[in-house]
Order: sequence, then C-alpha cells, then structure tokens
Amino acid sequence: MDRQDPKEELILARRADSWLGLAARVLLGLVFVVSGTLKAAAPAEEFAWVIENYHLVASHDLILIMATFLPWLEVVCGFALVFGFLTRASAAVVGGMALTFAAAIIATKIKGIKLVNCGCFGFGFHPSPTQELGLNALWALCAFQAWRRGRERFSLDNWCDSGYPHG
Amino acid sequence: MFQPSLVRRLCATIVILAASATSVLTVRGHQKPYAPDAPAYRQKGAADASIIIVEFSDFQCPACRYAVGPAKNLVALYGKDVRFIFKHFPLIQHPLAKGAAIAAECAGRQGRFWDFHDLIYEKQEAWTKDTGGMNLQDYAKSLNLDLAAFSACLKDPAAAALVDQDLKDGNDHWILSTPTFFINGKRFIGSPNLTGPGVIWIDKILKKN
Repeated sequence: MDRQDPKEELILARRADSWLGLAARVLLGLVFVVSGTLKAAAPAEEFAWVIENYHLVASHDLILIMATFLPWLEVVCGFALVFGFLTRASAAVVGGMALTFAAAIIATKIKGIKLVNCGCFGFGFHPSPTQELGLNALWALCAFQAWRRGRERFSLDNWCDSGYPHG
Repeated sequence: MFQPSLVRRLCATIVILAASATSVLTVRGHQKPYAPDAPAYRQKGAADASIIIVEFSDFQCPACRYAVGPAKNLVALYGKDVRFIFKHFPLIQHPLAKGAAIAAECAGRQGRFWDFHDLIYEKQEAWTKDTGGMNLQDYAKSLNLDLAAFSACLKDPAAAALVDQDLKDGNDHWILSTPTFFINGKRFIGSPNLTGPGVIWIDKILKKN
C-alpha cells in the first residue's frame, strides 16, 4: 500500500488549517457585523436596557456609553475579520468579547436573573441563555482559529505586507 | 515619501471604517418619524402641557403592568405640566395582546379606555393564563359598557386598524421592548428608567421653560 510522503501530509494539513482559518475568520466576522449593525443602528437606549437587565454595571451613564460604543466595536472588528485586516488583533478583541458575553450570561444564571433577551442580535433573534452560551463558545473557538491562521488566505494583511492577498 | 505598505494600511483602514459606517447607516435609514398622537380617549392631561409622555405598551407584558402605578404617580406629580398618551405595541410573543388592545379601543369608543386599561392590567395574570381565551365581555360587563356595541366593535376593522397604526409607528421608531416611554421625544425603557432618569429629564425641561 502506498503511503503519502510525511512532508506532503504536513503541507496538506497546513493548507487545510489555513483554509479553516479563513472560514473561521469570515464566519465570525459576518456574525459580528450583523449583530453589531442591528444594535448600532437601533437607538442606544434599547441596548442599554438589555445591559441593565444583566445587573452587572451600576452606573446608568456608563451603561449608555457602553451601549453606544460596543456595537460599533463589533461592527468594525467584524469587518476587519471579514477583510482580514489586523486579523490577529481583531480576532483577539472579538474572542475576548465572546468570552465576556459568556461570563455575563453565566453570572446572571448564578444570580438567578431571568433574561428575556440576551441582546446579542439587537432584535429579531433571541436565543435562550443556554443557546447563547453555546454560540459564544463557538465564536471563541472561531476567534482562536482566526487568530492562528486567519491572515494566511485572502487577507488585507497579506496585501498590506506584500501587495498581494495570497489565495 | 510614504512606504507602499503604509499607504495600503491606510487604504485598508478607510475600507473597514467606510464599510462599518455604510452598513449601520443603511440599516438606520429604515427608522422613520412616528406620529405621537392618538385618539383623544387615549390621552390625559392638559392639551397645552409642556411635557408630553408617550407610552408604547402591551397589555400582556408584565413589565407594562408594573409601569402602570409609576406612570400614574408621575402624571399626578406633575399635574398640568404633563400630557400622557398611550399607544399600543402588542409584541409578537404575546398572542393575546392584540385582542386586548382592540378591546381597549372598543372601551375607548364608549369613553372608558382608562378604566378598561387599568382593569386588564390588574387582571393580567388571570386572563393571560386563561387557555380558553380571555373573557373580554366579562370585563366590559363589569365596567357597565354597552355590550352589543362592544361586541360589534371587536369585529370592526377600524378598531384593529388603530392598533395596527400604533404598531407601525412603534416599528418605525425602532421600539424593541415594552414599556417604552418618550418624554418630549427622549426614550426611556421600563418603569425604573421612567421614574429615575425620566424624572430628572422632566425636571430639566421644566427648569428651562
């Protein structure tokens, strides 16, 4: 039986890994573009109300500031991931946000707070806290893969460095 | 001069920021102005009041029930300075809310909107758990409404159209939760925000006038 050259196997595995990095980067980017856009386009008070229901931040003014800027951060990082610009930094920020959201949901579960709306997608889609925990774990995994291999294919990072967005 | 990679980075930054702004502004463009008016029977307070509070509410929503008392207290506290306008916003997840809103419209036609409003909020836990359907007629009867006119009104498309118009106004104005209050156009969601930051906002307006 023929066996593949180990070197070739390694190249194939690395190639698959980089394609997976691209897929994770684009998927995660699109999710954050959609969720951030829906929240950023709506009045800030709507997202502020959702943040208030978590009972994690006491100051009303701080909540309003968070509700104004967090969705924009999601949109900008989302597009940065889709286009592969500052990929590692964007993946780190988005992964950090996913873990923070997950921690906030766990904190409400421990405190016994019943969330009607996790606020993750603005309006239209309200996953249950358990579903949202699962989704955030998935986003954190995607962020990790995007951080590892996300910039290797079709990325503006490559274009910025060498003038060509290697496919 | 500039290094090519720096120029490319600048271009990439502009692309990302432009894409972000375009997506948010495009979605935001769907927000339309809403009509803060309502039939006279859904308004209370002085016509020339300097403070106009518009509430978008859902009869099946518990948070709206908790807001009834604070809203009443606020109107009593500010007296002639406040005009309060009620608008329907039956949420999709509350299947009985629209029927209740139409019934309240029908009570309004007989001049008893606020009595019916208070009664169905007070009895909310009872009629929302009634799997056989809420008995609106019983509530109408307890308020001594003309039952024949009330029943005819429940089937009148004009009553449902008023509720639909409010729903459209709310959707145009991106209402995502109930109760949502607008105090002279500024949004406050939930009764804690009405009685906290909302009161501060009212005092600020009154001080200016």
